[in-house]
Amino acid sequence: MLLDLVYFAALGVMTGGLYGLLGLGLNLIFGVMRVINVSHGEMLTLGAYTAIVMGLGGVTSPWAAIVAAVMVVTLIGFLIARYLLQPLTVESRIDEQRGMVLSLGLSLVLANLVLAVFGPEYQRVPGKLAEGSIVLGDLIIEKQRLIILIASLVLAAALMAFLRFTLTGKAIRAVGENPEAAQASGISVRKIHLLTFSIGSALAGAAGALITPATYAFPAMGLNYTLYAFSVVIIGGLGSVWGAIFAGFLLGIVESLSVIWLPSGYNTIVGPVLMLFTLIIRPQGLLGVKPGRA
Amino acid sequence: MAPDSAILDVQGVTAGYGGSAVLQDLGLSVRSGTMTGVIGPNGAGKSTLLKVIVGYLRPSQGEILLDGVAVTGLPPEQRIAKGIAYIAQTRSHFPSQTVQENLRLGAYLVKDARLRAERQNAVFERFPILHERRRQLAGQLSGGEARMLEVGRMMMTAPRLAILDEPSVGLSPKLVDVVYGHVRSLCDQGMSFLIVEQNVRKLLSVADFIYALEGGRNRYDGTPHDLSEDGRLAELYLGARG
Repeated sequence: MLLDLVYFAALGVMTGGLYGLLGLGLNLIFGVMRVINVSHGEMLTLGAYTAIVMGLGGVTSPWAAIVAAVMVVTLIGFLIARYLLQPLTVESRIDEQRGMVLSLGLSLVLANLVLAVFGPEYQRVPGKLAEGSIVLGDLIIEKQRLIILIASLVLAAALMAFLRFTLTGKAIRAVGENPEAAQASGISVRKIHLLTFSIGSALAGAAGALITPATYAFPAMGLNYTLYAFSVVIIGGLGSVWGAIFAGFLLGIVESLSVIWLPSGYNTIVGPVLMLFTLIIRPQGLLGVKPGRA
Repeated sequence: MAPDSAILDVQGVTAGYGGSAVLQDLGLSVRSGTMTGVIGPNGAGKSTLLKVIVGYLRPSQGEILLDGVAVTGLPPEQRIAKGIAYIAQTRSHFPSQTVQENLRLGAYLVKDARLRAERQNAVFERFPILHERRRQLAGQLSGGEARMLEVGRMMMTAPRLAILDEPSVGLSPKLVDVVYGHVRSLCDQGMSFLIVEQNVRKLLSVADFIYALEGGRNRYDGTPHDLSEDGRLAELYLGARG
């Protein structure tokens, strides 16, 4: 029994990093643009299917697929921001409700577009990130899962370093904090919005290509991940970077452990239930601060 | 006033939110090297006027000219690049970034590192407290220090025209004097100012020229002295005579 706990907790950690990465992207887009991006999971779907297309085209290296997915989804994110979100921007702010409704519509359109093009079947990529497993006593961990965890953390760390240490990153945070003052500093809110949405989408796209070697791709896969990303953001606290990472792991572990007690198939309700509890007990999230924006 | 000496010209501006006009056919100009003040009761359109000048709000009619060239269609960041600076009424900085990062962001458009260093030194010379707190988050500064940071942030672009929305708001009378002392000395160094202020007495005591608004229209323009001398206007804008 104890071994089960350890084993499932370890599995949870593996997926938790990915949840954290997704939450981070969603958090970034919301924090800077005030858009509740319901289509975040579809960016992951598009990344996954970019990997599928690469596989069909004979490219077996998952790493090449990840690079391609980042490029494709960055472009798609840019186009969405430029041609769908920009027209909703008035005086450097996007109307929150319109932005959310737009992204909701977008998530339906994109998922169905993928369905129309690729069909409903579960698809796999030919390559693997790594073969074999790591054996730690009784604990057996697929190397591939470990790589997904590490890659997720590396991407999350890269994003944080970018936001913390580069001038462009600081400008992105400045727009999130105070768009008017950012403009008064000479920062183009328009350009920062385009960049932010592209980066947030790219991270989700990377996540999509990263997980396909270990799982399947199917047209509706995005919805679950959108739910996870939302859960992560709510549990960790809106705008909190460390909250997202922490909540990602928490969600991954609890979800994984739930398999022991819950009938299979019910594990997807873990995120929403945790989110609900958080909203009741600590509405600002575990590491969040109470809102205070002008 | 010769038009060629005006750094800013606002001509026949009508503007508002969602169809209702807050400003109607408003005109104003700021002569180079002067401090021009705008007063008026709440809802007279003072803040809206500044938003139109900085570019946050597009006027439905009229033109904004900077050095005689229309900038009416430009977004704020391009007006900043042309030498305008703006400090909003409250929190015109970035609380979660350090004092130094705030100044760096203020110089976002300044590509020359040497120039940036020079200007940052000028800011730290003027405001030694900012130098002391340069590694602290701006959110930890007091109200007065935050105001100084905002003035410092503005100095990083070496603007020719600084636009301030109620710089006295939330400050003690002593700090108001300090802030206006810095404004005056920057003005004497050649920076032009356009200042909106509720603290009418303070503004009348420092400004070179005053515009009074009422209901989004021009009500008066002239020197502070003339306004104070005019019994009816003084009563309207200064409250009880005294």
